[in-house]
Amino acid sequence: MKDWLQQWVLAWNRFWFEPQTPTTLAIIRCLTGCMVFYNHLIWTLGIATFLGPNAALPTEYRSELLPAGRYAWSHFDWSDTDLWLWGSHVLGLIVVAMWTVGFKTRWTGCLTAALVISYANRAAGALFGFDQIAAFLCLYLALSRCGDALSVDAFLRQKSVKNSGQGRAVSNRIATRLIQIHLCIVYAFAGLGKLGGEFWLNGEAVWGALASYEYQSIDMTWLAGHMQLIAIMTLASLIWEVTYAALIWPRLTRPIVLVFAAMVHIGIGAAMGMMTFGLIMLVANLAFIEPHWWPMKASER
Amino acid sequence: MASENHSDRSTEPAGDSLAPTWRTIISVLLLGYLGVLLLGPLSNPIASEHLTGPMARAVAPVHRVLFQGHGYRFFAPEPGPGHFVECRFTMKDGSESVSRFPNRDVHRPRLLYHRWFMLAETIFTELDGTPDTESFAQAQAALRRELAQLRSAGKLKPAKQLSAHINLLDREYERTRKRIEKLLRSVATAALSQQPDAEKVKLVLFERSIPLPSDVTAGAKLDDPQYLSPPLSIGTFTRESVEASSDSLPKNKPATNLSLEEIQ
Repeated sequence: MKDWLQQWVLAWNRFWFEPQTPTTLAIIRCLTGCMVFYNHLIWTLGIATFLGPNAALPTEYRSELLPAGRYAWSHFDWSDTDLWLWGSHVLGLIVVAMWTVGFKTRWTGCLTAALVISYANRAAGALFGFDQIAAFLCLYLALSRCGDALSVDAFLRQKSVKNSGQGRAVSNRIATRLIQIHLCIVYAFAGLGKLGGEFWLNGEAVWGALASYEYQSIDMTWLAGHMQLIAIMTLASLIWEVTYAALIWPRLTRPIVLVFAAMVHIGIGAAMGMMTFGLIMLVANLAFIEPHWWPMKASER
Repeated sequence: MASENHSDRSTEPAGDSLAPTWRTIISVLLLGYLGVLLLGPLSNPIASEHLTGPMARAVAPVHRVLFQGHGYRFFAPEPGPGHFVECRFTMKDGSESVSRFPNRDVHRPRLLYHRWFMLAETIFTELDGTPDTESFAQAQAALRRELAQLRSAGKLKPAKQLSAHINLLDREYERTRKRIEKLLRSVATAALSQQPDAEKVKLVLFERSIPLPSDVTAGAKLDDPQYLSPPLSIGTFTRESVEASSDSLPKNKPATNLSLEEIQ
């Protein structure tokens, strides 16, 4: 019994606390940063409609809609002047850009996570999967030392005399594990939810997605004459999603699961006009790529 | 790029040098956080009344602060019909103008379109999940009859519970109605702000069902009007007050259905 417990503790410590190099997280930071920057840039086009004091979504909407909604904080509630709306938005864009390139990453990482949450809370009612995934990625990346590679910080540090800060860190491992586990939860519940749907089990759900006029971005209706193909796509997606949380961990099956993830998310992005969602899911999946898998020199990992 | 050698660089202790106390503290925090995380999809959209529901309510502040607690039921249980809202403006000179959201010709790039799309879906979800006044009143009247029977039979304890339940439903319904009214008024305000010459705006919700594959192979188009359900008038709002007129939902939801011909 004692041995068994010791093995558990060892495995737990190895899983959560083995120091890890920052390469994978740095790549995720760069890509997530680009997407969050783009998202905020697009908010600019609808800033008054979605985020302003007289937006289509009332400021009190979320607090009335959600349990404990008053805790769904947003900096947009702090003032209703145009100066605050635009000033904080422009500053936010600068912060996200700084984080993306890895400048003052510890600070800008925390601020970016706060910004993503703040925007999402304010715009409750106009959100979709992208916001949920981007929020947890930014949150976990803020815990890590993702600025220790592929960053302005790392470049400046190399030039400095003290030359400190880069390397393996426990926080990188913890952040990676949190992203991985969170992603497994997302896929598991998305998959389990689909098992309650008749069209996922009879193989027609993908048709329902492709033939929705509101979603459509590429005309895939030619598939109406190939329902066997639709059925294969539907059932394969369902099986992949339901089994993701189990098959992503073994190294033998992980590449297959990741390749499938790429096909599904690029497909959703291209055919259903949700490229931002498809891409952020792919970015999150990068957490399963171990740092030494990247084609970089050892010194760059 | 700095090297792999961390002995002189890492500002953080290596895992095996992390003090056991810190490992224990962090482990407890991680387990707690993962529990909080799991309560999101375990309580949203459906919760166990006796377990995950109360637990999720307890951790709801953490969910809200960190923007967690989501259900993650993407395209589940199945892909449903799409929705859009038509804004029918009446101008000061009496002429009419129509816009809609989402509108792929206007709302670009696609991410912006998707925000409008989700706003239309939110309006639909709110209205769809809330019975109209008449249906709600009928359901409450049935409960009150049941309550009277319990009282006349001398079953005071269940009668007390039912009475509390009826009052709770009344309060929740009123709260939901007010929330929807506020949402629709804000949408109308935003719509009117984009049409400076408009005097009032009527919001109309449309649902577009997904065509059968056999229809499409026979030549049907996805935007064919035959796939639109009868439009639902959800409110008329004037510029002066931006207050809902009498057809605001959910008060008269079924009664205000317009005919399909009226909008074509």
